Amino acid sequence: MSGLVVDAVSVEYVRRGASITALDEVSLTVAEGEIVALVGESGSGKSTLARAVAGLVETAAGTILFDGVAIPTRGRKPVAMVFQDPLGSLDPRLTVAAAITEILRVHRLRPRAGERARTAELLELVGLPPEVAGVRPRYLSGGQQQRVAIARALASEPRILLLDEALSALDASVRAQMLRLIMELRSRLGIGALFIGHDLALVRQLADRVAVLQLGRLVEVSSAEEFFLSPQHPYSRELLAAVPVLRRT
Amino acid sequence: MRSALANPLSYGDVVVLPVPLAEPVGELDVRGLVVEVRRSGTWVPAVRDVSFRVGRGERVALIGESGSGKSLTAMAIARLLPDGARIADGAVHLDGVDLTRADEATLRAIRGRRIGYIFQNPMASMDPLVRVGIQAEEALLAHGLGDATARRERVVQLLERVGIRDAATRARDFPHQFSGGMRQRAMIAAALAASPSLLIADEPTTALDVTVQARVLDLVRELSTESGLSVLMITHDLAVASQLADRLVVMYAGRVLETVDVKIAVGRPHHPYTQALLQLVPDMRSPAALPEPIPGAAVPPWQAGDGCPFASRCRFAVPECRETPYTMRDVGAGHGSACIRELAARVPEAVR
Repeated sequence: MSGLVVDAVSVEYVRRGASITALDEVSLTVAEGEIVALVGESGSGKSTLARAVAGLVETAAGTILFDGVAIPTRGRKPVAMVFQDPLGSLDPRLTVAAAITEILRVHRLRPRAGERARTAELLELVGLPPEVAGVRPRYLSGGQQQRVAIARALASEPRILLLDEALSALDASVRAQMLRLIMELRSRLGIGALFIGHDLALVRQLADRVAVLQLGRLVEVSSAEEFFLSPQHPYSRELLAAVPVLRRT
Repeated sequence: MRSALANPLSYGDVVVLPVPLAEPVGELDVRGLVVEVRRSGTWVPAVRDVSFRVGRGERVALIGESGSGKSLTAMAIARLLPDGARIADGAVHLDGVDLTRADEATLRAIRGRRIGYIFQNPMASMDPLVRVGIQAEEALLAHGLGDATARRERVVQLLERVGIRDAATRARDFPHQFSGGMRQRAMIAAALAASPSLLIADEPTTALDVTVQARVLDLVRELSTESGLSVLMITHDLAVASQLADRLVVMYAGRVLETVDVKIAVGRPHHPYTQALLQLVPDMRSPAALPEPIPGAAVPPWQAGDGCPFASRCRFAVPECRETPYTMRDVGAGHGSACIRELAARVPEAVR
């Protein structure tokens, strides 16, 4: 099968000598051009799943394939992660251009002569003005920093973005801009995304399908329409009932 | 002297403490508050001429995006500003006492006792080496309220009240043994231990899961309804604010742009910035309508000039918006707005 296929993946952590199951035989697919949201409370295993896909944590069982091939643990991957805190994932000493060029060089994606043009292209893609190329990340706004993090993720030409609470720390207005950016990247690049977020209102705007994790197990995978209109699992209903809505009365 | 029995803030059958109280009704009056921050060696304004009131038992949400000055305002009220920030002007009266002029002894007597403060990050504001129950007792101990047994009972009852099961045992846990939601609830118990009359909650639920968030909001609402606790909540989330608050104080670039009843805010707000915030709340019913981003980027308060700070991003702005000095005016009963344009002139577009 094409796209990302997570099949019966388990992840275990050892804490104080005891083994804790963080993910319990989770199976999920993300096709190219598809946005799948992973929802659930803290500790449900959302980030662990994204990290397992990115090869950042070891799996105890199961397989993770992209287009039928195992995702390499080193080197260029068909997936790229974007985290909640852009400053935490950007080297403070590197300018925006240098941070992006680094990725192009590591993976030998462009000859030296083509680096500048590609960097400019990536900045344009994420809606950043060319001037930010020479700036260090701390001088940018939170939204701009997150755009840089996305540009950097896109530099390795992934087919699936793993967005781990990538919009959670942003102001509503910036979040609305980023929402549009993700939709645009999907239509321009045909890229897919595994979107992790606790904001279900955002999931409603963005996702084609929703996967619900509870204590390391998938309890529901449905189309976004089904999930929001007729959630099947009691835990899904509990999550939806808790969403703060604008009280208009 | 009043006995705690007569204290309107006692919680049901919670242990009676011999508590002397002057009229602590939790009325907060912020007038012309200016907070400055140090940037590259010079002091620049980050909160500019902020005025609002929180009446007894009222729940007010200070709402705005990053850099609006909402947290600095809250910290200035409790005189908890960090280094590099100072109150430059204005007054903050709590039950008639001007906190901006209060000495350290008065502030010590007020913090924890009259004002309970909940910070956004419960892990950063808890001591990892001290048992949760002992930390929750701190305000009682600091203010000499009750003996050891009474304090412990009071804390256990409060922990139960905030939904910590098996509270007597869990009070002996260390913070790391609590989940994030439990820690935040323990912080609420600690903030309420000495029966303050005003609770300041800075993004109390932002770091929490939605299910826990809903419980925490319910809890604060109940406590305030039951006991007349006044609440000042700081949030960037209009939906959350609408769940808890009676009134909104909308801040942008260090200024208050609108003070408004929450029902009017979600229906027919006056200031275009409040309207823009409203349009950013995603509609759960239909995924088709993406929330409309506000064009441009927020201006730092110290660069915002004397006119309306939102003018540069406002689709209704006219040259007068930048030229007319900022002032709040009444646009309805208990409804203030800094927008100089008549709502009627903008309404055909403004209505969602």
